[in-house]
Amino acid sequence: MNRVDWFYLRRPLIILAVAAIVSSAVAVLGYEYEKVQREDYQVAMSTLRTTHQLYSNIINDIDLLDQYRNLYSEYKSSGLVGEERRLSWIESLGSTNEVLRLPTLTYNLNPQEEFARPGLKVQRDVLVKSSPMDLSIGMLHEEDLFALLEGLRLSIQNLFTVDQCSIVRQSPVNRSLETKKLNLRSQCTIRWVTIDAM
Amino acid sequence: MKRVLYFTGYRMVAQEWSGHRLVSSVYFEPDDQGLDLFSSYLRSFRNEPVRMLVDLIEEEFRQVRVPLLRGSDRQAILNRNFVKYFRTSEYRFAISQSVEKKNRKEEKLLLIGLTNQYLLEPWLKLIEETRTPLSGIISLPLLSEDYVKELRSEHRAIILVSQQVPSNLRQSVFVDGKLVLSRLVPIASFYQGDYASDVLRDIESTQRYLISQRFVERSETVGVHILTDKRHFEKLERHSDQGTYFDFKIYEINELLEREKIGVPDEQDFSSGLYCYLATKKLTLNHYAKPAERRYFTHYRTGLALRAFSIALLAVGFGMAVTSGVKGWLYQDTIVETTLVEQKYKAKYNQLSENRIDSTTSTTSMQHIVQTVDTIKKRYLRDPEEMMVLISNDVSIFRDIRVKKVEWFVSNQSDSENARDVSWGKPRKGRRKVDKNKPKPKKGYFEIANVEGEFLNFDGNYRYALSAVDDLENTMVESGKYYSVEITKRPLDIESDNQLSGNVGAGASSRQLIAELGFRVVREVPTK
Repeated sequence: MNRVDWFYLRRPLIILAVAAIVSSAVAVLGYEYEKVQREDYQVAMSTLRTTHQLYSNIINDIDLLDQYRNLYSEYKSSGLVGEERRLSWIESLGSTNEVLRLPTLTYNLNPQEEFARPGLKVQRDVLVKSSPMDLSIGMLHEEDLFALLEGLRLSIQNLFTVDQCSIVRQSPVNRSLETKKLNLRSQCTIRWVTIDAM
Repeated sequence: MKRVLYFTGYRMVAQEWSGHRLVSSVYFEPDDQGLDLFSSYLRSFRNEPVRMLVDLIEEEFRQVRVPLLRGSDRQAILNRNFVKYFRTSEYRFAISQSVEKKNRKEEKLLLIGLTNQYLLEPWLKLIEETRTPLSGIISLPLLSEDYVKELRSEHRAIILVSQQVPSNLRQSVFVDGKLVLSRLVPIASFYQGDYASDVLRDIESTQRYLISQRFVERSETVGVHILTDKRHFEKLERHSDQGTYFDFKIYEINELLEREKIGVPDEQDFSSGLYCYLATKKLTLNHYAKPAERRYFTHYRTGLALRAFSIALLAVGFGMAVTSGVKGWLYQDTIVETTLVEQKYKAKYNQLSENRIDSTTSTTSMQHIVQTVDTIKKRYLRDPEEMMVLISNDVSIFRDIRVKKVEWFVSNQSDSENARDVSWGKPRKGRRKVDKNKPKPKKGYFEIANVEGEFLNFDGNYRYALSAVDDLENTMVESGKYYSVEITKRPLDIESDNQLSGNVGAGASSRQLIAELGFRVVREVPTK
C-alpha cells in the first residue's frame, strides 16, 4: 500500500491553495468591479431615459401648447372655461331680447350640477358642469324662439344646450294669429355648460 | 535536465543529460563514503525525477510460451512463472513478444529478472530516504531492443556486443528484432591481452548456445554488431574477416555517438553513454521498480498535475477577472458617453422649460379641455329647431291639421314620456311597462316631441279624420327620419278595448264639433 507523503506534496498543495484563493479573489474582484460598473451603467441609462422622457414630454407639451393654447385662452376669456359667469348670461339674454322685443321673457337659473350625456367621456383632469335655466317666453310667432336661441348663441361664446321646450298656442286653431298680441307661450329649459380643470 | 543513475553491479554512475548532451557524470563507490556522497547528491536535486539503468551479471532471461489469456488469469500464469524462474527475486518483468496460433493461441513472453536483488538495496534505500522520484528501473538489454531496429540488419538473428565496464562484455541476442537472451561475461583482456580473440571466442560460444537452444539454425548466418573503442577497432575488424557464419559490423563508439549527435565531454572507451542517452529519451520506462519504489515519482507527477491545475486555476481566475475588467471598462466608457448625452438632453430640457409659458394649467389639461369643448360642440348641443322643421314639413302636407302644442325634449331613453321623466345621471328606477305595439325601448341620445293638434273646420266626418291621422302616421314612418312614430290621440277612439260614447241626436249638429289628434316622434341623435 503506497502511503501519501503529504509533506512531499505540501508545496504543490500550498501553491494550489494559494492559486485557488488568488484566482477566486481576482475573479471576485473582477466580478465586483463589473457589477459596480454595470449598476452604475444601469443608473446612468435610467437617468438618461428619464431625462429623455422629460425632454420628449416637454417637446410634446410644447407642440400641444402651440396647438391648444390659443383655443384654451379664448375659452378661458369667454368664460366657457373656468368659473361660470351667470351675469354675462343674463346680460346676453337681455341684450338679445332688446333686439327681438319679445312681450314676455322670464328666466329662472337653477343651481349648477354635473353635465352628463350619453356617450360623453371626460378625462379625469376635466370637470364639466352645467346650470339649467328655465325660460318662460311669450311669443308672437314660433320663429321667435329660434331667433332668441340664435341671438343668445351669437351674443356670448359660452355653450348652452336646450334640454326641453314646449310651445303652446294661446288661441283656438281656427283663429288667425294676431300681430300685436301674444299668440304662443313657450317654456324652455336651457343648460349653460362650463368646463374647468380639476 | 534528465538524470540517469547507471548501475553496473558495483558502483553507481549519476549522469545528467541536457537533450543530446551529457552534462556531467558522477561516480559513487559502494562504501560508506560513496553512499553518503550519493545521498548528498540526491538531496541536491530533490524533487527532480531520476531513472535507474541497470547492467548486471545477475540478470536472467527466459523465453516462455503461455496460453493467450487476459486480466487476472494472465497475471496468475505470470506469477507462477516468476516463482518458477525467479523465486528469490522481487525484481522481475514480463514482456509480450508475439502471439502464435497453433492448436491454441499462445503468447510468447520474455521473462526477465534480477537474481541478486540485494545489490540494489542500499541505493534504493537512499533514493527512498531522500524522497527522490524514481521513474523506473530499466534493464539495459531490454532498452537496447529499440536501438537494434536502427542498425538495420538483414539477418534474422543479431548479436549486439558492447562493453560498458572494462571487466564485462555484454552480448544481447535478438531474433526477429526481439530480445531472446543477454549475457554479461567477464573479460580480462580489455587493457592487456588478445581482446579481439577473446571477444570472438565468446561470440562463437554464444552462437553455439543459440544453436543448441534452436534459436538459430546451424547454417544460419548471424549478424554481429560490435560496439567498441578506437583501440580495439582495427584488431576486431581484422579478426572478423576470418568468420564464416557471422556477418560482422563493427562500430567505433565515438563515431557512433557523433553519428547519433550525442555530445559527450571526453572520448569514450565504453558504450554506457549511448545506453544512458537511450534511457533519457524514454518519457517513462520501468521494468523492475515496484510501486512502492515509484511512490515519490507518483507524488512528483501528482505535484506536477497540481501545479498545472494551479496554473489553470490562476489562468481561469485572471481570465474571468480580465473579462470582467474589460466589461466593466466598457460599461464605464458607456457611462461617460451616456452622461454626456444625458447632460445635453438636460440642458435642452432646462432651456425649453425656461422658455415655456408659465401656466397653472398643464398642457395636457388644456388639451383635454379643448377636446371636451370640441366634443360637446359637435355632439351634445341641441335645440328644437331642426326637429320642429321636420315635424312642420310632415304636418303641412295635411292642410286641415293645425298644431296646438309641441313639447320637445332630449332624453337618454327612447321611451321617456316627458322632460320630467328624463334622468341624466343615474339609470331610471323601476321598469316601465313595455307595450308590445310600441318600438323596443333603447338607450342613447334622443330628441322626443309630443305634438297635439286639431282638425280645422271639422264637420263631423270622423272617417276622413281618422284616415288623415293614419296617413300622417304612415307619412312620418315612411320618411325614415324618426326612430319611432306613435299616434297618442285620435279624433275618435274606436279601439275595441276602449269605451266609446257620444251624441248623435238631432240637436247635436248645432254644437261645434272638434277632432283632436296627438302624436309622439322620437329621433336618435348620433353621439359618435
